[in-house]
Amino acid sequence: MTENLSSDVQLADWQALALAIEGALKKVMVGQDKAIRLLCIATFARGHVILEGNIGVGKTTLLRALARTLGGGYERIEGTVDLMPSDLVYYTYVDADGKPQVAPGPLLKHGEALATFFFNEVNRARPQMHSLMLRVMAERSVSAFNREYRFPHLQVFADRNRVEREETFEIPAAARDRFLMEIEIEPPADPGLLRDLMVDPRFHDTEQLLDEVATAIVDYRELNGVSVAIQRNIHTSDAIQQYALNLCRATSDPVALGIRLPDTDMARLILAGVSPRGMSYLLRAARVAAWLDGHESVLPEDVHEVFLAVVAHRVFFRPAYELRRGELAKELTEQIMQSIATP
Amino acid sequence: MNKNVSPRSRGDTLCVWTALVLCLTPAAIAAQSISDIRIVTPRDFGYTIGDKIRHEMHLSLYEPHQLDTTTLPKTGRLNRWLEIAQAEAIVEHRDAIVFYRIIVDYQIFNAPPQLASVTIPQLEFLTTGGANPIPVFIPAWTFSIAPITSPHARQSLSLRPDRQPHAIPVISRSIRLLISALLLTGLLMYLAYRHWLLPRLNRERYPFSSALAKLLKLQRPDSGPQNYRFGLKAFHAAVNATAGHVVFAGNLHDFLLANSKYAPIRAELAALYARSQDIFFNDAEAAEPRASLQELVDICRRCRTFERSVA
Repeated sequence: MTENLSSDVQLADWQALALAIEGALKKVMVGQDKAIRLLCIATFARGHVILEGNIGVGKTTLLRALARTLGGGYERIEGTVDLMPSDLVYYTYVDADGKPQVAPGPLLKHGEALATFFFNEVNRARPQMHSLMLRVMAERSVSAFNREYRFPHLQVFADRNRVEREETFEIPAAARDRFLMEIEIEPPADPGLLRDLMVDPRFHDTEQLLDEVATAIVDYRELNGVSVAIQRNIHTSDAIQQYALNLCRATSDPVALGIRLPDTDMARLILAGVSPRGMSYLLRAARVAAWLDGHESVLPEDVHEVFLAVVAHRVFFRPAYELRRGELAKELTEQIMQSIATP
Repeated sequence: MNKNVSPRSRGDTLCVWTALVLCLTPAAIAAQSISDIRIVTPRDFGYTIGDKIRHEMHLSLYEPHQLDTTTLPKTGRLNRWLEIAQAEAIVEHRDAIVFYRIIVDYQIFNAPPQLASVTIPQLEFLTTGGANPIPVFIPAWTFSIAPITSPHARQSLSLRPDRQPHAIPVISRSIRLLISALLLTGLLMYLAYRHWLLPRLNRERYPFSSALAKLLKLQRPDSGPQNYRFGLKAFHAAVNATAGHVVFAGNLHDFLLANSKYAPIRAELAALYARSQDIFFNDAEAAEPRASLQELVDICRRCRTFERSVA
């Protein structure tokens, strides 16, 4: 592997940098080790991410901290029902001389330097917005002012809270499939950590907390190259490829594996399983997971590490079961992993 | 020449035809060939439909003369009243004379509306063995056939219904059939249990026993890396079946916690899983496939011992 690295990127050095990012995030986000690891994997797999969780669990803080470690342009927009695509592209104002002016919106402001775009409460925005984001995520470009703007280093993070469902627009299946991962952010399970969050004044001032995070630990402009090098150099054996394929195919027909979920008619649960894009994303993320763990080849535990985050939002349930998505998807993926043998 | 006039040998009418025969054949020739001829006929009255009438001809020939049996009458319909049911000749040689007992059975198959006179036509046989065949004639014979009902009764006659078939007792056969079916069912059930159900139950109850059998089959003098890979898969399948879920290197510790009877070989299992991981996911090859397979067999054998022990 080392010979390849010397011709591409020094992956070992980059692994240390990735772990440094992880360490920096863990300092400000306690009890979120798994979510932080998944965020790092998504960053080095160059995939977009949806964060889902209750209110006040630190989703925004986590993303802002990650944006600091990556450097580059960072923009954030709040999803509201009256938000229109033009609001992302430009805004108008009257300047000091009283003349009307047009200025680039949050999407265009940084040009190619835009590295992190955070769409808060994405499910509050209208489908027109989802459509624009779909193109930005898929093509990393947008057309405006009679020209095309490109964002080669862009990584989109979207967030939705699971508490409120009223006046929201569910992200369409096509847009959901563009996200590499859907990461669940839960409050820390450890009561001691929860008490620290409550008592320690360090966690009370978010701005001050974020100041602790080192800025630009990596050069965001090199992330695409590193990602390509990881994908090229981390080996996937025939056995692991077949294993990953079997896992993905099982999401379409879990009944064949004898999987039963409580209070669920399994024959009427699944509308569609993981798409071919999802299958490629699974192995892409698993390679990065293996690299972060110091493996030269992808192992089953690397696949397991990312399986839920990559696959859960790509399994489409019938409407009757959509409201139980979180619970069902977790149980389904868990049982699939327990049922499919490798080798 | 013996112009034999036979005595009455039966209760039936006995007629001697010799003179008549001789009248019909050249006397010199017949004298050289025929020693004796007698014809025995039954009564010539009192017959009805279905009755049989037997004519017997006793013919004695000087050797080398003999009867040409192809000239015997053929069986089958003779006329509108009679058919020949049987015609045969029984031969016996004695003192240079051949004795023939020729039997012709006639059967009446028609019933006249009133008493009728019917004639059996003349028969002709030939002898062979001489310079020329000599014909032997049996003259026509007339008898009477009576109706079976009166002419008045015929108008009101109707067919009786068919007689019911005689019931054959089949209870014993049914019992035998039932017993055979039960025995066959029992045999099939036993074979299904022995060769289908039992192996499956054992596979579920004793996964390592099943895996060991597979491993022993893989152990051959020419065992290569592929055999070792198959062996590892069989062993992993046994561990998975024991655990009830898939066991990886990462959760082997949990498996040993839940199945503590396998804990004594914790180190061996951990090393085996690490080697399996290398082979399947790092594309490594076993350096000594045969030795590795033997080691795998040993571990599996120990696991089999543990699985049959009480935890």
